[in-house]
Amino acid sequence: MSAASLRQELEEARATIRALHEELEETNRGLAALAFELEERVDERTAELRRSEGMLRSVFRAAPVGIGVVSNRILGWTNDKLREMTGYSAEELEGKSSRILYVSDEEYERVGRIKYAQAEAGDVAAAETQLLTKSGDTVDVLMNATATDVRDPQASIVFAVMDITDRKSAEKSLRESERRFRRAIEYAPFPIMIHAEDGEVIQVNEVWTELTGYPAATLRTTNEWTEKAYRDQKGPVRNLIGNLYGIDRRVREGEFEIRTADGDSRIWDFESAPLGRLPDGRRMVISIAKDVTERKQAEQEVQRLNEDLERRVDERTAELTAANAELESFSYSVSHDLRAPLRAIGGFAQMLEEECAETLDEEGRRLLNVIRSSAKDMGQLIDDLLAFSRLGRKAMTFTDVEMDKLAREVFQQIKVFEPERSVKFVVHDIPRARTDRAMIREVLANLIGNACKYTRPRERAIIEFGGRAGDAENVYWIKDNGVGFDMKYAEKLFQVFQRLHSADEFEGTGIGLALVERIVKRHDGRLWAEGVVNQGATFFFALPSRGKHDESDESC
Amino acid sequence: MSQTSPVEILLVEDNPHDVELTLRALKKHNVANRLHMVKDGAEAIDFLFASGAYEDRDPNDRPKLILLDLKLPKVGGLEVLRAVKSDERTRNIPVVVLTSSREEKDIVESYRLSVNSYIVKPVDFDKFLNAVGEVGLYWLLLNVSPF
Repeated sequence: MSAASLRQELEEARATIRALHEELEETNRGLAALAFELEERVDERTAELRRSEGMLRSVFRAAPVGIGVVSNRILGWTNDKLREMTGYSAEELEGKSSRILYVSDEEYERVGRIKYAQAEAGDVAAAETQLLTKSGDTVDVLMNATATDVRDPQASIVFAVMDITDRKSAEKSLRESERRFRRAIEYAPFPIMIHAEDGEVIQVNEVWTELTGYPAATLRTTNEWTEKAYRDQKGPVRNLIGNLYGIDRRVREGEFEIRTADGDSRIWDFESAPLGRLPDGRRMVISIAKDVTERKQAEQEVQRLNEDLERRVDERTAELTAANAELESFSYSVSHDLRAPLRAIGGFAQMLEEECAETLDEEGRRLLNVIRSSAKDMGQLIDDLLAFSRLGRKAMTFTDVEMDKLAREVFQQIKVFEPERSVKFVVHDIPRARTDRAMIREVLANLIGNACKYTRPRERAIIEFGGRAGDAENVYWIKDNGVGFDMKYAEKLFQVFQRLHSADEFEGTGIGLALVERIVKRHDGRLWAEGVVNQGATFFFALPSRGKHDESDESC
Repeated sequence: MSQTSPVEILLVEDNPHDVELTLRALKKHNVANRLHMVKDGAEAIDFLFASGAYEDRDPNDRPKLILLDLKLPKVGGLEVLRAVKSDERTRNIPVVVLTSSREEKDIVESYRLSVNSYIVKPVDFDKFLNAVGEVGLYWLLLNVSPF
């Protein structure tokens, strides 16, 4: 090889090196610029990261929830809120097992399982649990957790806990309130059912199931209920229930006969009221029943007793009617058959007297007279008795009777029989009476007749008739100045056949005053007498003042 | 008023004593001239309608007055009254019920059946005499009958 060629080769090598050197220099310059740029960018990023981390820390710090980081179940960083909630300081928590925040191992494991399972899936886990504070209290919390690196969730988990004590206690009191409400329904003494418009039975209480014998489990819908309780009658009842969901106030559906599991029937009186809506919007109705079976039975019993009573009254009335009819036929017989022989006794005695007048002496005529007058007395007795018995059967006709006029009329008729006597009849101002005229005439005839009879020994007999009107009753009185009576016999006066005088003193059958009493009693009135021996007697009778009566304007 | 026409009274009475008293009363008043007496309602109807034991009687020979007791054996007085008053032939014969019954239903029923008089027999003999006598006098002598 030549030197020239060597030189040339060297020259060429030098040129290459120079070029390489230049290239290297160029590259170095470029690298330096790149390094600078990189450095700038790292600084920028670092500042950004610092800002970001600072913001994150501020967020964590300011967050209203407790936040912490757990690595391999060891507590790391925690925020103020978490420390505030737990009562621990940062130092007390950092590096400790997260177990210290849980109330029990079981709870620790349970929440842990939820947390890691979700974390591995890349999700946010959520669990309600309780935090155990340093002082040993518990706080209801909702815990959310997520892994910072899905590939290794154990490595780092961020968790946040929110104090839900208030929500919990609100829920609790709501639950309790609802429980109370359910219990109130459950133990209410009436059958109660709460049902929704789609037929679901929301609640049916104890009394309902006890009285019917259908367990609550068999009454899941109102249709199940109506099927059991109403059977063939369920149609109209279902319609009725269907119409209940539109009501806006309490309604009374009325009484229904329901059938129990035993096959008995009971009467329930239903009322229903709207109960608002379920969360899903279905309208609810509360139906309350009153079991009125016993009351109904009692009512039926009362009705039965009434009917029974009426039947018995009818029977008694029929018996009485029969007895009356018997009495009537009896008195008919008495009136006919008893009088016939009397007529014969009297008549034949007289015939004897007439036809054998010459052969009879004074004593014989006297004896015949006794026979005749006895027959006559007995005839009178029979007539009086018949009048007395007839009185009970006679229907009464009430009219306004002018008592003073009637009394004068009666007195005139009585006076005819003893025209020779001096009897002064004084009629005072007397109210009218609402009464049966024929009957009250009988009363006056007897009382005035008695007054005439028992004043017979008086040279100047005075009979007074007076009366006064009252609100409830009118009282009338007839007073005489006759022989009077002893008050100790007063109660005997009005008894049949009771006499206070012998027949030869004063004639009579002992029926007149009994008749008077019977008439007054049929008027719902009262009768009484006052008397003094030898000074006269006063007989009072009071008649109810039925309707309006006018004062008599006549006086004597 | 003439007395030439024969007086005929049908007395329907089962009580012999009342019969005797009635006869006496009528005699006293001179109106018992031609009296026929039957003891029960059935016999009274036979007499009036010429049937049974009275078959041979002339049915046109009607009494001028019937004195009728109500309480009679076999056929009662009210039945006799109904028979008399519902038959054309006998309707015009005056019927006087002479009875002991003062029962309202007897009185009402008698008048409903068109009785001519209703007399309650008085127990007192004098009154009885007067009552029966006057009834006889009135219907036989004073009353102008259509036949």
